[in-house]
Amino acid sequence: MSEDPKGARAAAHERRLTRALLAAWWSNLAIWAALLALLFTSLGLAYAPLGRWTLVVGLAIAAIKAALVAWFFMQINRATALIRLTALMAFVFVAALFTFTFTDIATRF
Amino acid sequence: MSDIAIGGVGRRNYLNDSHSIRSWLLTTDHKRIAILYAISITIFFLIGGAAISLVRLELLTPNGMFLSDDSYNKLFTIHGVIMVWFFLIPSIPNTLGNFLLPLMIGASDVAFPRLNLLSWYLNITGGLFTVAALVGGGVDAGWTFYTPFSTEFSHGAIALAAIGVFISGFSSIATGVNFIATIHMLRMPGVTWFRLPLFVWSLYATSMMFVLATPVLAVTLLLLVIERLFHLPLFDPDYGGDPLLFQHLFWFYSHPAVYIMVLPSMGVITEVITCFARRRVFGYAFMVYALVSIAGIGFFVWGHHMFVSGQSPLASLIFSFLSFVVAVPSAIKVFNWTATLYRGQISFEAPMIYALGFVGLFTVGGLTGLFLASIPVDIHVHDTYFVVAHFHYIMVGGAVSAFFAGLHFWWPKITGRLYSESWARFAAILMFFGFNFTFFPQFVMGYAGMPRRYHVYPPEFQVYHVMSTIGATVLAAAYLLPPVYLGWSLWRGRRAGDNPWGASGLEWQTNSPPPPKNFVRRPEAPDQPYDYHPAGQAPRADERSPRRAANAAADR
Amino acid sequence: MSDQTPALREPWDALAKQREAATFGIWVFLASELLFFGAIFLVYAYLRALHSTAFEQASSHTSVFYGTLNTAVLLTSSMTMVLAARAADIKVKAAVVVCLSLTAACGLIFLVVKGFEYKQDIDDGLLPGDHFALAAAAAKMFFSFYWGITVVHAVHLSIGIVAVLRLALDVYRDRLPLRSPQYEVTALYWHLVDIIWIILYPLLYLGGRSS
Repeated sequence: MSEDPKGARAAAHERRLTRALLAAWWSNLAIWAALLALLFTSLGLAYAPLGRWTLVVGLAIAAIKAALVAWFFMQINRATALIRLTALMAFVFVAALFTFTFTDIATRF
Repeated sequence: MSDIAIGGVGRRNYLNDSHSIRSWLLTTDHKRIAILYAISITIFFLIGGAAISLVRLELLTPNGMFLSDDSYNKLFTIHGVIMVWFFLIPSIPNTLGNFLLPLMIGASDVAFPRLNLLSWYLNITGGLFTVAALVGGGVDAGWTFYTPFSTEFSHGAIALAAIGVFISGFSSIATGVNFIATIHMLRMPGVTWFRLPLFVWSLYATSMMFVLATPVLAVTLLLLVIERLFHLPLFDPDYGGDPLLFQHLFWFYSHPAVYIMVLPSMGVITEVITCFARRRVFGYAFMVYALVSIAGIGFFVWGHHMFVSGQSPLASLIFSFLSFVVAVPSAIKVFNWTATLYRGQISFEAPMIYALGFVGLFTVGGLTGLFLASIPVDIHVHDTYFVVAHFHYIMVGGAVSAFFAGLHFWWPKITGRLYSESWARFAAILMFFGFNFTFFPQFVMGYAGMPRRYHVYPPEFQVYHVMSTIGATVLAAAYLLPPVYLGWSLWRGRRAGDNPWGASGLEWQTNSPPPPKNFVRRPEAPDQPYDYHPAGQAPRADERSPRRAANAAADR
Repeated sequence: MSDQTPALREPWDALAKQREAATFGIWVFLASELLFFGAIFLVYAYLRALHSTAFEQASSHTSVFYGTLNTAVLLTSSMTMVLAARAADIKVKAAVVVCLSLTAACGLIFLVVKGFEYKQDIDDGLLPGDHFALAAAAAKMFFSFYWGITVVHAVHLSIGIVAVLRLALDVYRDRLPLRSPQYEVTALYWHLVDIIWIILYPLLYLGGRSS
């Protein structure tokens, strides 16, 4: 008789765990579906006559996919300010690498 | 048994805690890892020094004496490669930094102690590959590995050396990650950001560069190896590639690399000057901003190595302008060190001699850097000995002096022994004169047209080369003195107290040498970083110096 | 089943602080990886700026089927990796082991598919060397980049697979508590490897197809 409350607590705990797992499963599955949709969109657009814009469109979709992974999978939105600053710093210096190098090749004659 | 050699009598410290080789080679104690690094950088320093000694001997006569052109090229290359990546870059951060960082913030170790040990193994593995390249054919492309010579025409063991440096890069990145996490997360309560010693700030700025610049070097070397070993063209003009792409990638890392080498030195100098002038540092906040600015802006100036390479004039102009800008925070630091001396009670112990030498020599190096940042001047002196003299004034006159300053300053803390002050002062002064005699003639002959990396030269430059070689001999003698008297101190030196210099800083609040977990009693975090008197409160001449009092106490 | 003590390491005296430090530490490392791949992308951008037509035409010769398949596989692996990390947070050991194993499996599938792709590339004469199939000189550079970057990515992925498998084994044998920072750390690294491939995909596979 005295085991019943314990059993009931254990069962409630199990149900909570299952609910939490399922919630995680569904939300992440939704993101995965979005990522695949974007993948096939970019594949399709590659065959469209976009001329010089093919690369831009392809990279733009890739950027959106990367942002989804960073936001929902890496949870950068919930990370500390310090971590977001760290990620930002990396982008700033990659941007500097690109900017200064391209200043050179764009203005050579 | 162990107390005879080192350590306080009967006290358990990090040195006598256990004696097996295993306990040293598998240690996770940051202090022991610092000692491991100290041993390996000394060996690399000797190899790099031996190489350049042969070069300086060879340069006594205009037509060479005992080296072939190939051997000559291999010797100056290996000197550069070893000194940059296996001596200068790890010297202060991985020896003094590893030892002192946790102590200075009141922590018991770094954030990731096992990663710290891995750093050392990566460093020496990279070093072994590089030495293997030295033995297995030599490297003759210069430490800069420019294409297409390095990818197509050189017959040396380029790939092996590049792989060695590539591996050592991961050592740097691991150290950077470790130090950044340590400083953010392990400061004891009371040690706020603007109470940190400037040495800690300098390690922080250096670590940012480790993390952000070194990966680009890794890519550069990887692509070099891919092109050379697998003949996959990327820089080859025959397929539309561009050697300047290599140079952009190489210098994106290698310019911050020189700040990696000099910023920790600046941190050491601030610690030493404040202690031996008994003064708080002048303008602490600006010293911090200067360190961080140098680290940041230093990423945007790399094209000043490429003014004559074919880089566009507009890009060259932008890089030139930014190179002038980056000199400003360095100048601020020099002014602030000088101002720190004002109304101080200055004494000339060996660390202070090295530190004052640093300030002068770094200033000369920095000023000549401005000459080089000016495009018209650079066109004249690019690839001459002027450039060689410039960077040796910073790297040797600056960084190596600072390393010795720090080594002597913290020697009592690290080993628990006091070294012979007279021998140390003599070595420091000898080094200063030897250094200037070696490198000042190089400014003159560089400006007069003597190219760098030349085995054979016109006879009108011989007098400068002879002066330089004589200076180098004196310098070498000055470098060989510290191992002797420092080694002697380990055996017969007087035992040091906790704080023989009367210095401020948490590391001086523990035993010399420190116990394995750094602090026996929790240290007291001061409410300001340099606990010496400000200018308005300088003691009168007849008042006793607190440091002399502390020394007297240690003697008892 | 999960005790606090084995997860806690020197010099930390609280697991929460250690986890925070581990997460921060891996992000700092990821910043360095962003610079690493950023430099590689610069090489692509630079060479493409110099030879845009040749690069576009060369990239139409890669196998868009294998490339797209592999991208889908990696995206799936990222999802299973997230689930593993969440399951560790929720403390459901079985789910952790299953999801980690699925993640590693996806990684292995990627490598196998890549192997088939490499074989096809070699058969098509796309390995720069004496028998290179394409005439344009710059096409050889595109494929130098292709082989270089895909091998580098595969190396990173292999390290990730080993890390994930080791983690799965440790959890299965109860040698690693579910509170350990290692799940988060491994997951973040895995997602970065995925993001790199996401950006590579249009650069390598989607050029020159619209004619």
